[in-house]
Amino acid sequence: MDPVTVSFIGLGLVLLLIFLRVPIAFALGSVGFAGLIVVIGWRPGSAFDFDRGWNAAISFAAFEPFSFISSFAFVAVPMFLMMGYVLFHAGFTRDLYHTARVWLSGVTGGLAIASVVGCAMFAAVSGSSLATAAAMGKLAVPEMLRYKYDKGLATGVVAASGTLGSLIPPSILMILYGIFTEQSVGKLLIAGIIPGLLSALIYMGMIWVRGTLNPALAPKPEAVDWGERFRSLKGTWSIILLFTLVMGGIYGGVVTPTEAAAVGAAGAWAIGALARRLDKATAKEAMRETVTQVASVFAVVLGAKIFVAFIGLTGVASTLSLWALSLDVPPFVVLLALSLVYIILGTFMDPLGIMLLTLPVVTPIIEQLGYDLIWFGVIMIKLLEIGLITPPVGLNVYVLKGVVGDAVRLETIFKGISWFLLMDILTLFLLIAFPAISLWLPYSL
Amino acid sequence: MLDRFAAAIDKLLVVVASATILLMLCITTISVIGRYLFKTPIPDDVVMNELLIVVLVFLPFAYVQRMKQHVFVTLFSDRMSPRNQLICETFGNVVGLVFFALLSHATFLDYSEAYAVLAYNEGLLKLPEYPSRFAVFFGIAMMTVRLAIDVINGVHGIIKGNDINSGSEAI
Repeated sequence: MDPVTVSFIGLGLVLLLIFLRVPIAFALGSVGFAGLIVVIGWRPGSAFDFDRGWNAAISFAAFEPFSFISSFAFVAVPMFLMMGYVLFHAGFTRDLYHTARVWLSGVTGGLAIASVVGCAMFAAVSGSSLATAAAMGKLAVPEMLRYKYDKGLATGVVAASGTLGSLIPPSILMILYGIFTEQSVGKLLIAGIIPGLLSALIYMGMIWVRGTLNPALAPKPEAVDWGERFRSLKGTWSIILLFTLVMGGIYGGVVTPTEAAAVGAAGAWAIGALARRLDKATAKEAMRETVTQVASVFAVVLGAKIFVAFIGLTGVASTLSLWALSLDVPPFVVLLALSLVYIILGTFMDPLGIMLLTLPVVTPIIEQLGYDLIWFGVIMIKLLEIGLITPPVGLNVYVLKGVVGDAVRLETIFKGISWFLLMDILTLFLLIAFPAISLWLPYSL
Repeated sequence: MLDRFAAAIDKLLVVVASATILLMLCITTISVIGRYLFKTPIPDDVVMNELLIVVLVFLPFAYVQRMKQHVFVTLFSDRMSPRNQLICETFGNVVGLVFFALLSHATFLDYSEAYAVLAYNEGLLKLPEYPSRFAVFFGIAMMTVRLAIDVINGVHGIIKGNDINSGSEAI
């Protein structure tokens, strides 16, 4: 059996195990380990030597957990996660939603537009689109339904806007993409800013236009006076300042992304403590969630590292790259085909799992086609997030349905999401057609 | 009994990991402040973080398993009966048990080698590496124990006719 066939069997086995509810880390790690034994033990033209494969796989498994994870670049992940959980447990994400609500109170579709802001902020600090759909579903959806918003719009906006957090920094997916593809993490984080804001603005514009054309869809909430608007900033100005300092530090080259993350986390503790919003219980919960999330993410990273080593040894990536180059089609068509694969995978798999599963195969193809890997990181993450709201599956939609219960039918949520999906396709088209949207900021560093 | 004892250790390891991340936070922040205000960063701050992150990452593995917070896809298994879901979950734990048992063996070899030669990092402070390598092994070994307990409980539950919601505590 040639190594390329072995790699396809490996990929198929991982997907099968994932379908059977096997945690992604276990699926990637176990198949990767077995794959290493097979590929190293099975020299072309000679008999299978189990001992050779076993010894090499054990050596790899002995060395890699320490040597791979023990990296300063990875330290940014726990630090950004801690910053997010501390701010969340101190109630600052709720404040951000409240501030957005108050400032947009006189605007058509103001509550829905505020939900875009709230969801994007929540997703940025929590690092999870699914957690955003669950948490903001409880907070923003009842509020919009109380103001007689269309049920499809009220649920669609929450399910879709949670996906913005993966582009808007600090994005854990971006950091891991940078480490696995050996690209600058700082540039990647900065690259996500304009596409993330563009996505949010396009959502907001669509809500405003639809609300203006059909006022019954999004009744205008009563306007709040300017005094209350400025008072609402009391709970949020410090967070906005902290975010600006962290991203400004990276952009200005004053600190590395890891140092910026640590300073951001320290700032979050300081702001929470000064505002007297962190008692023993909330601080403990923030720490517990941070540590749990770190271990959960890195278990997948470890499994992926072993799987990547197996895939690397099979040579499937270079075979596929050569095949892609030999096709008599423009590179754009290959990119479209890959996009389709990502959207399909995104409908049923966690974005982190898909990214780490596919990177070893896809990155060489993209490089061979002459695309910039920073730009592709933005495109890939946008695609993964589109998958989370794409019918017939769309994990975010199901999570939201679980939260809103019988108040809104599943079909209504899918109907509501369709407008956001259209806007996402428009954004994706813009990001592909004009790479400068993603690349201008990081390359002006 | 064994389940409860392991659970207590799992919780303790989360406390150690929490202390570790706070230590990393202090080291990095103080070093950044020191570098810009006094032109004196903490020596080997990068190495310290590299040695500490493995402690933070690996020690809570078993706790995450106990809380069922490892990332998995339930989309297809959600359509199964609760009993079949328990079978799937137990199968996943068996896969994990085999994988982590192998990793325990491998990382113990790595730790033993590092301890035997008292391996250290070639930074300014020549910090020893073997405590961090031990943390990698210990976290993975505790994960293996947790998975073994979960597999035994799962098989016990399947034999007794339980489903994923009722659970089972055999040991």
